[in-house]
Amino acid sequence: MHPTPVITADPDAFARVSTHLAHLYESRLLKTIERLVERTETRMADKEGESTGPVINTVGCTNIYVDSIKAMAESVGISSLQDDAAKEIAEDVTFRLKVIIQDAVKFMELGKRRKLCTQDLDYSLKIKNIEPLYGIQSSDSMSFRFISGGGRELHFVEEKEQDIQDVVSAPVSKVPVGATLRAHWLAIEGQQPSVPENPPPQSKDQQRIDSIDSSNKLNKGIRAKGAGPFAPIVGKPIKFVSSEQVFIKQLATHELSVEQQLYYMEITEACVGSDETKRTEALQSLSNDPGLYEMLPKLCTFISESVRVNVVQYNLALLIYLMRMVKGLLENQTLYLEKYLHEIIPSVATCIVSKQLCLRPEADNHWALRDFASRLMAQICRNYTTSINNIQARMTRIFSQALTQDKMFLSSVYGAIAGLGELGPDVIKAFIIPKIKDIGTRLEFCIDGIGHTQADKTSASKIKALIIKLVAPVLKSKSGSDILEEFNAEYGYLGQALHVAVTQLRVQEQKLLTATTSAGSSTANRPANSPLSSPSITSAPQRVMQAARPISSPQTQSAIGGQKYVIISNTAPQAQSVRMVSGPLSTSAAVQQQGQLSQMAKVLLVNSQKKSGHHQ
Amino acid sequence: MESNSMKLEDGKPQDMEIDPIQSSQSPYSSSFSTMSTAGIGFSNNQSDTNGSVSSPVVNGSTGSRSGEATKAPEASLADKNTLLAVLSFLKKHNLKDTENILKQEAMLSEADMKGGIPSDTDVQSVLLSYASDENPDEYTDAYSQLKTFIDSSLDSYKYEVGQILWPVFVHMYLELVYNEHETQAQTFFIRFSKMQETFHEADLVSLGSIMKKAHLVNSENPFRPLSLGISSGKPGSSSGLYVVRMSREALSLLKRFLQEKRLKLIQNIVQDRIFVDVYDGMPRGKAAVQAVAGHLMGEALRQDNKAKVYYGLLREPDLQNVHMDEDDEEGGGESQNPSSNPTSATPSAQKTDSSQSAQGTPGASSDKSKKKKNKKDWLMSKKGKNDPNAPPINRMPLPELRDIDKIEKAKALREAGKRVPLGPERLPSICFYTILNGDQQVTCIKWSEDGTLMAVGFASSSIKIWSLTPTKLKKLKGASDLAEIERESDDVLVRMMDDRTAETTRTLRGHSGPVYSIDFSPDNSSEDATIRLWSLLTWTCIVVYKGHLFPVWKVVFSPHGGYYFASAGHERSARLWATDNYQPLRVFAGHFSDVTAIIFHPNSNYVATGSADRSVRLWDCVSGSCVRLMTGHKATVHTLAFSNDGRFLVSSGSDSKILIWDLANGGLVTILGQHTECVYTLAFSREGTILASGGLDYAIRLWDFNKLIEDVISEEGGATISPDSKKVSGDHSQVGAYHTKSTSVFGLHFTRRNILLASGPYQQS
Repeated sequence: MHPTPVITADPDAFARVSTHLAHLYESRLLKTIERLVERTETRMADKEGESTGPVINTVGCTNIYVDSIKAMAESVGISSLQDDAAKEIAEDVTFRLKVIIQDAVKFMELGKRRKLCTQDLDYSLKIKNIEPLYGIQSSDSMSFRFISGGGRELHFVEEKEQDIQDVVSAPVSKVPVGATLRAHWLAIEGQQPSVPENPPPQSKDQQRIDSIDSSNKLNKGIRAKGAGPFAPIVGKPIKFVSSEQVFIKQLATHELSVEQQLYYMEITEACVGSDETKRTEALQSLSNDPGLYEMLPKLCTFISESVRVNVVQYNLALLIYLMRMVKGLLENQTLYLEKYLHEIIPSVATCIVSKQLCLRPEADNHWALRDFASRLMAQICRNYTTSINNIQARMTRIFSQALTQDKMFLSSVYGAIAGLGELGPDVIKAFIIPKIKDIGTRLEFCIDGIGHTQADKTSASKIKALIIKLVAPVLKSKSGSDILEEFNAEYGYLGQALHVAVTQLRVQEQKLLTATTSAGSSTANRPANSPLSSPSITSAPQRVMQAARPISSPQTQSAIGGQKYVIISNTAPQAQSVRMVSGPLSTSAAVQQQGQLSQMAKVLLVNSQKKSGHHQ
Repeated sequence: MESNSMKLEDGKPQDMEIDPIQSSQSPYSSSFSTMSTAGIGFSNNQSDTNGSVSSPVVNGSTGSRSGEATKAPEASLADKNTLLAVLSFLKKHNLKDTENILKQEAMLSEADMKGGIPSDTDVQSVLLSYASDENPDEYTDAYSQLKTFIDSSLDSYKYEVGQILWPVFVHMYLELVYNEHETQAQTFFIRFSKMQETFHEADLVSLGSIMKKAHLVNSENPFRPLSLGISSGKPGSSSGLYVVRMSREALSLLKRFLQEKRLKLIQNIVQDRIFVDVYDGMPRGKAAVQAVAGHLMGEALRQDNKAKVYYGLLREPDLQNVHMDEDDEEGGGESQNPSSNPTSATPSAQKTDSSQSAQGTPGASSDKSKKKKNKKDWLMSKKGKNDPNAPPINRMPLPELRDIDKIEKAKALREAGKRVPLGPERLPSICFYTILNGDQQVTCIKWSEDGTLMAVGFASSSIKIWSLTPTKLKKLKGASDLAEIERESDDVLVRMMDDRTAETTRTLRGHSGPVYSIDFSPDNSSEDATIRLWSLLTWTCIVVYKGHLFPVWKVVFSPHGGYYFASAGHERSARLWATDNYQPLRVFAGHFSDVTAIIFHPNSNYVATGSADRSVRLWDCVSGSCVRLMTGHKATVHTLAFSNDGRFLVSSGSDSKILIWDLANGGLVTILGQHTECVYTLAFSREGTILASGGLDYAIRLWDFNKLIEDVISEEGGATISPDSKKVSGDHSQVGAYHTKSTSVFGLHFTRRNILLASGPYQQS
């Protein structure tokens, strides 16, 4: 089996090693093989993508090292293996392993698999007339543990000792499920039907590519036209195409089959109908069905049209249903909505900031709709914002503009705050916190002032609750100041409430902290960690901060007495800061070719204002 | 361990493989030596075959590159070589007395002995040619000079001359290794392996594993065929050499360069180890050169593809007159003992074949008489179609049609009437049978011709058969029950089946390793090196064919009557069998690596094979010789398909490219490169207009086949077309791509009504 290399090393040791070599092959090295194969294969896979040609350093990288051989020799009781002998063995083993692996890969290919498994190695050994290894089988690839220490690195398979009693008494493992057949139509006369068994007609990635690069779709369209089942063969003309060919983009026709039309009817009726179970099913279908891609334009139009109608009629229930439809579409893994955002975003934005969404604003819970729609908007921003469309920046601008206007309806203010709040703590910090004082004044006016309706009062208290809910966690992490006066100075009317909320949060946090630290039994660093027990430490930097802000500190001191003065003087720099933040955004947005998106949203805002003005 | 190694010696692949040295002496000597050694190996394992050296009928040839040997010396030479093989066997086992007696009886001289089978020592002596006392440091220098020369040469010559970069690289590396300059060899490898073409990647991996002289001698060395190839000094003999086809100008350019720079090293390699097939005309461009590169042993010689191939179809039997035809043509002993027929037919057929290829005109007397006979047949038949490329009907003895076959044919014809004509404007419907819970388990899928049964082979060595129609799969009744059935009754066939056993799916068990291939009329091959024939009436195994020593990768039935079948296996050869003979009728040897794909030509006269050596070969079943060698694949070939007119061969495999070949001249028609992973199955629609392909990339692609070949067809004669000057990609003719949901496509089949059936296992993520 093994060649007799001419070496001058300790002959006794070598003889012993060679008798063990078979054993080495079989028990230990075989596990290493898988590792080797994995490495080579991943390397191959990595390289395939590159066009520069193969960079395989086979000579260097996939060798069994002399050290490994020595370690293995040690493990079978040969402690003094000469270097030459180990080297000789290492090289021979490497060659043989590679030959074995090569054949094993052959078995893998002919077994029509992508993954090499232990059986392949068995067969490969078998055709070489070597007894295969019995008992080493794993369904998954073996996981190697890595350990380094003392300058040595080691990969090994962890073998746990098993009690034979456990193995014997263990319940018999389940018989694997037998193979079964399932038939479906992959294509009907060249058209792929949209059934769950088939993949979505256009993968999400493809949709994304199409929406980003329209020329890509153009080319494909032409190719599909040339090859499509109902199109005339244009292969010939393409052959003679000169470089001056002008491609005219075909108008997209969205032809729906009868089944699809029926589906569309059913689904829209169920979604806005009165039957709650049907609606649940319909929404389920919207969020799971893979074949909706072709119906997407219709569905989006349906949503936007319905929102437009129902906002005017103050039909709160229907608006909620429509927003749930949007949610379903957003959740559908196979859809890429970017092309239809110009319809979806205005609808959702309307449901957030519209002045009135229901017939009886004082009684109906339109706040829930605003919250829900805000969450949807945030999700849209997260999923689809790109450097090109800048959705998040534009939505932020729209919402913050709503906050700057004094005459804005309270319901719209609520919506704007909710919309901003869902976009994350950074947005809250930049756009809500600077406005708190203004808003607070207005709220105070509504709640405490006279001549206001009950509706206004509820709105105001809703806004108050919302602001506290959103802002308190941000404030808590922002600075360590817990002095009521500072809160009052900075946040005016809402200062008190915010202070209470922040303190409460801190107490909660501390409770959690003490719970964990007491469990960890370390009490030495507790005072340093808990802010309440050591106000002096935290207040010291605060004073420094105040000193560093000479403009604002006199204002805050005077603000304790008269609040009106503060409002006027405070708005100027803050408005500026807002503009500064939104400035670069607006310029970057202006660069983009499609500004219609934000415009539409703006128009809607204006519309709702007009409408509300009209109603008043 | 010792006994193991003994056995290995006997059954080693190297004994099976054709040795280039041998075939360089005579094309026939090697063929016989191959078979006889194989025979000995066989008798060792199977005591009951009584050590019979395989029958003289069996004639595997190496795709003889020069076919001019006359018949008389061939016979004596063959005998002598058989004797030599036996002698070498005796010698190996130290049976001296027998050896001496045999020597005396055969009157063999010592001189004769020298030309015997190459033993391991011979291999070593051949490798000796690698010995050189050149300074090992010069290799790197010489190679980089060659590389710069090629890079800086004119574009028109660049790619042609560039073909020698790879073989020179391999040989230089091996030479370094052989002379034990290991460190230099490694630096040489590391430096230049990056510069090789991408498709040599797999070879580079295996080449890199050869790091010692001992590895080079080792029989498992994947570069063995290449390293053994050395010029025998005879001009025109190319066997075993890496073949490079080059225009005259390109060659002279290269020669001048080598002489100027005095690069003796490279000059030697080019002279001794590379066969340059010179042609007159324009040098080829990059695309043309790369399209045909990739074979382990370089490009095919033009000479290899000169022989005439009868790629036309046999006349369809006329179902009304079928009885008369048979009496006229195939009456006599054939029905009695079909196995004797191919044997007796062989010598004459072989003769006509060799005379044809030698003279170029089919003028032998026996041939004339056949022609007359055929003419009569054509006159008698209603169609009277005269295909000049069709082989004579009795060139290959085929079984006559049984009554049941005729009924089946008539049924097929009726079905065909209802068939939807397909084309680029009218694509087929695809019915996909997803195999659930079969991930990593399913190895092959096959449908019966009429599409009612589907068989799936599993790695767990079982075969499952599903009935795709409401008809249940029933078992034949037991013998005692069968005796009670009245034979005259009309429904005897129905009554024979046991209703109680009706099932929609049945499992066949018997193999002891993964089932790699199945074909109906059911038959399959396995890792356990056997082919089993199963009955679909009793649902049991009827015959086990044990001729293979190593795993059998593919097995396929002849389209005529399920009598012949062919198998391909790990031992680098393909075999032709008849169902009633437990030994193969032909061994097709010549591939340099595993034969991984095999298929019958529609006229049953030829067998096409694809191999891991990245070439496709066409073999003549009658003579056993290789008549076409087609190179161009860059990885293992896994699947083959003949176009319905029999002229075109489509092949594909691990390199995910689909290549279409014209059998008229062995030229490459086009390359389809839309698949992204290994392609495992190809299928033609019933009228041959649509080609479907599927593989590991979860997609079925449809191609407009008429468009692919329209250029070739429209050309007068067609046979002169070769891709030398053309752009070869045919991707524009894709008419459809259907993706599946993480389900690989392992099988495709067009039903008689042109519905495409597809199947594969669903892959759990």
